[in-house]
Amino acid sequence: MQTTSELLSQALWGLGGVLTFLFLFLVVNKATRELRERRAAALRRQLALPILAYVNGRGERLGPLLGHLGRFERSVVEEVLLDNARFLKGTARSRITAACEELGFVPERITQLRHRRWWKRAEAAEKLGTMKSPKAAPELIALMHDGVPEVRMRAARALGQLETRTSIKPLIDALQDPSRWSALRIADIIAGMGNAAADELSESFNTLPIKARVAAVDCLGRAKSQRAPRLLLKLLSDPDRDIRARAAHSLGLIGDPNFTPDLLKCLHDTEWPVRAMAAKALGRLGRPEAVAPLAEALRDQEWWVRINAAEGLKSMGEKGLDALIEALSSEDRFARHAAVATLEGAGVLDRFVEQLASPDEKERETALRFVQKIIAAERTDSLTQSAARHAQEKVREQLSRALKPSEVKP
Amino acid sequence: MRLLVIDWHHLLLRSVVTFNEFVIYYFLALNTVYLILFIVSLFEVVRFVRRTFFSDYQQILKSEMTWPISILVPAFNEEHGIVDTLRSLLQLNYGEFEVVVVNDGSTDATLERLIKAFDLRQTDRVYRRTLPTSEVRGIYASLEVPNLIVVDKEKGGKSDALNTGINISRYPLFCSVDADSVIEENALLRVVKPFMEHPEEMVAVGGIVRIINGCEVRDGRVTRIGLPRRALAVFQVVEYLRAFLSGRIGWSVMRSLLIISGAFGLYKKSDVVAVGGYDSFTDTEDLELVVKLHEHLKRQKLKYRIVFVPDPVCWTEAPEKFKTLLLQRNRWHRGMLQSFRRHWRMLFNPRYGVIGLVALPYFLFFEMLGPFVEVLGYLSVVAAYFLGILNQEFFLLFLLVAIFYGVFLSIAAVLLEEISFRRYPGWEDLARLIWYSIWENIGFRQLLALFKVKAFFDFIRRRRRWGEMGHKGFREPAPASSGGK
Amino acid sequence: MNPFRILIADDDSTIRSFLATLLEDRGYEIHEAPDGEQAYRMAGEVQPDLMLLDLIMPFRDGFDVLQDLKRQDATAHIPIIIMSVKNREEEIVKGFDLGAEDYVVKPFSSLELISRMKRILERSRS
Repeated sequence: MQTTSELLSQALWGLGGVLTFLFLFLVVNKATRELRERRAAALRRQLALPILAYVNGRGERLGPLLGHLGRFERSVVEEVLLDNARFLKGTARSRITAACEELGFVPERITQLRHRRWWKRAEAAEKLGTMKSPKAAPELIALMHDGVPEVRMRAARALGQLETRTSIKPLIDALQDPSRWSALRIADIIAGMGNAAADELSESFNTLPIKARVAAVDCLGRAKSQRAPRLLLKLLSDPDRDIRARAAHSLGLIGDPNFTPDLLKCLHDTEWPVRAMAAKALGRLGRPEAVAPLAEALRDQEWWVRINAAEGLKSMGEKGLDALIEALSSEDRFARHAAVATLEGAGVLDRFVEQLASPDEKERETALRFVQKIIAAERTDSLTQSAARHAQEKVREQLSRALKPSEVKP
Repeated sequence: MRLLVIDWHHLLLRSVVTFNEFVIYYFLALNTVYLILFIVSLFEVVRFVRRTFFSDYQQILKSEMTWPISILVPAFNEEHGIVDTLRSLLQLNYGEFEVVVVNDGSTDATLERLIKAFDLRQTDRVYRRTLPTSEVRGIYASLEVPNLIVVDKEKGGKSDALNTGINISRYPLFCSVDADSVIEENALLRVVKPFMEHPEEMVAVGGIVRIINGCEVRDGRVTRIGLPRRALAVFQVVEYLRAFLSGRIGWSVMRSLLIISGAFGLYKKSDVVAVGGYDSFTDTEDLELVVKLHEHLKRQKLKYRIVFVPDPVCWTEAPEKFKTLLLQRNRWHRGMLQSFRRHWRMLFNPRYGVIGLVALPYFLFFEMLGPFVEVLGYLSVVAAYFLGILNQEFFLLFLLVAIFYGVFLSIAAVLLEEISFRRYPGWEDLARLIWYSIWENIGFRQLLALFKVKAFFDFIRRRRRWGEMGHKGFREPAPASSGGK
Repeated sequence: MNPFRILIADDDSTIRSFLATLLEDRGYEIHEAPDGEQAYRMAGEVQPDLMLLDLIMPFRDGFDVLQDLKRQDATAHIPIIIMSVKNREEEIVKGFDLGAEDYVVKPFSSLELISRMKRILERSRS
């Protein structure tokens, strides 16, 4: 035990040393950080004025407005420029890009793209994306082959922000390689890049592997492309059900009513996701010829299809609401329930309940018939509540009377 | 006869000495594990800080690919703070999400307050009963706030309430939230990020829970962060820092995260439904769920991930009264034992990978056995002293080393916090954290060990009591004027 | 002629200072509100000629503030331009439905913003 005691003593001293070191490290670290922050904040306040003045139109170049800058000051200037870049577009944003090129920030960061440490490379890619200088494109494209996935992703994202013609192809190529790239994230980037990118995507569609195709279809729904609709319509008959479903969804997003006939065919697809998305899209397009087919879809076996059909009818104006009211007397239980829920959400229920107190007898009758249909559909929670709490006594009276027979449950 | 007496004495001596030696080796092993965990966590936190850029969250917020989330809030007798909680949840920074409150048969004015505050009307919302739950009495919605749903049901317990919420929720991801927690405004963006990065594999994500005692809260939002006044609470702050920053992150990196706090976790609904949702037999349904998920997914040999985002997302109340703390820790420990008993087959089973071979054994030897070893260790020291075989110098040194080491781990956690998230920016706070880190190891930890021993015996005797925390009411307005409310 | 009074409500201090510099340079008088509650209060106190309103703000949602300001007689006349990253159809429609004069999506063009503001301000002065 003697030697162990010695060991323990040494361990004690060792630990004591480590603790003191930790403590000092904490204190020094915190102090330096605070000092640096204060200095940076002061500089930021001072430099913000000339920088923002330039960004908003004063002068041709930023450099002369600032004079000589030390290294720390340069980093603060870069920070201010990038902070403002993220919420701006148009002329102001271009001026920021010009300033970054003029003051040498772009070339510096481009060099940093080849840094040894991966997080430095990632940071450089990130910043270059915000700077939006096309000069960085070739290097960023090269960086898409970096060994570290995080770096590759940043490079891809930065290219997306650059929005240069040359960025598109490498991004579409990335979709080809599902082992290295998350198709979802690349598609997200491409979707934010505008028409040209979406057009190219449509062109290269057939060369993409299946997973990428699914993401690409989503992407085409969001971007405004000329070529996309033709491709999407073709994809409605693709052998893969996910593709068909998403193509239907994307067509709904694009919103051209002329898609209606093709989508109506999809309502009879053997796979339910396709039917569900078709119902959703038809609701968005809003054509009257879709009302009857959607009303039929209320009786579909699959819950999603029914819900989407009901929601679709809700957004189709009076005709759609009428169809839903019709559905209240359907023999199909699920159709009835879907109809009730949707009519409630659309405020139709409230409207008719109010109408129960109308001076016009015809309106009262229509309202009463409506209420009776709801009761027959056995979905009386909301009505029961109104019967108890509605502001107008006449309404409460009528509702309570209507509800009575159904309360006698066998 | 004389021989027998000598044998007893000798036996006692030998056993005490042997046990002491065992304690020493146990201590060494345990602290090595802690050290490894800490180092792994250190690297991960640093890497996380480096990897995370502000623009990421902006992108997630704007992207249409971001998955929508259903926030589930089980509520039982929460009349005091439920409206504030909901108001702040509805203001979370996120694209598309819904809030599903499940009123689990409250006997107070919880439901009434909700109806009044949000002008709720009963609706006949259609939903699928994928998981079995107790009777739902009604579903309420608000025309003004379309993404709020309140479900009124018979009392069935927290697990049952959560399962009901899962049934009614619409979206592919759901987030379980405690009714008395305060969620940070960007929390959803942060915990959804792993899902966006690995959409097919990700199954569950947890975030760091912080202690709200001592913070100023206004309108369901933390306006000023501070350390609690009461010692018991500060000890817990230090403990949470150590447990989360140096513990769970390490486990998360090693793909064997077993605990996602019930106060805040984001899950993929389809996987949770596949394992049958939350269970009622346990006191810690969040732990049980994660263990179940691991078991199921490993057995199916599916590629999956359950990770921890080393980012503070949620603030929760810590017990300030001794008795409440006892009840809470009792429940936690019993819950762990219950899950263990249910899933004992995973132990040492190579089919369950790192979890079966490393994480579960760790829990068995150190988390469960640990308190016993510690308590018995102190007892045996006392025994040794009375038997005259105690090497006092050795014992003292050992004790000091143990304390120093514990302090080292606690301060290291504080350091991790300082270099990464800096939620406690003041100098005074830092000083207090360090001071309490020291004392946490001299008294608080030992106290917790005693609690755990008691919990074990309770578990054997199968006593189950939730215990209600007396709410201190952090939702009082700040001293400065708070405007019309 | 008195300078136009503009109230900028946004929780992001960088945007606030950008807009403040932009507009002060052009001769406007600037007031800033860093959160929803202050935005609501200052609108009543300052009575700006135009308000730039962010949607995502602490303590009170931008839509809430908009709705409340339009309901009150004292502030209903204040023209409000919403400025937000939220760019979905439903949100834009909601903004106009609640009474906003205009809806500018972030990232925005500063020159466009100035033109929109000028049109509204000139109309209100005439």
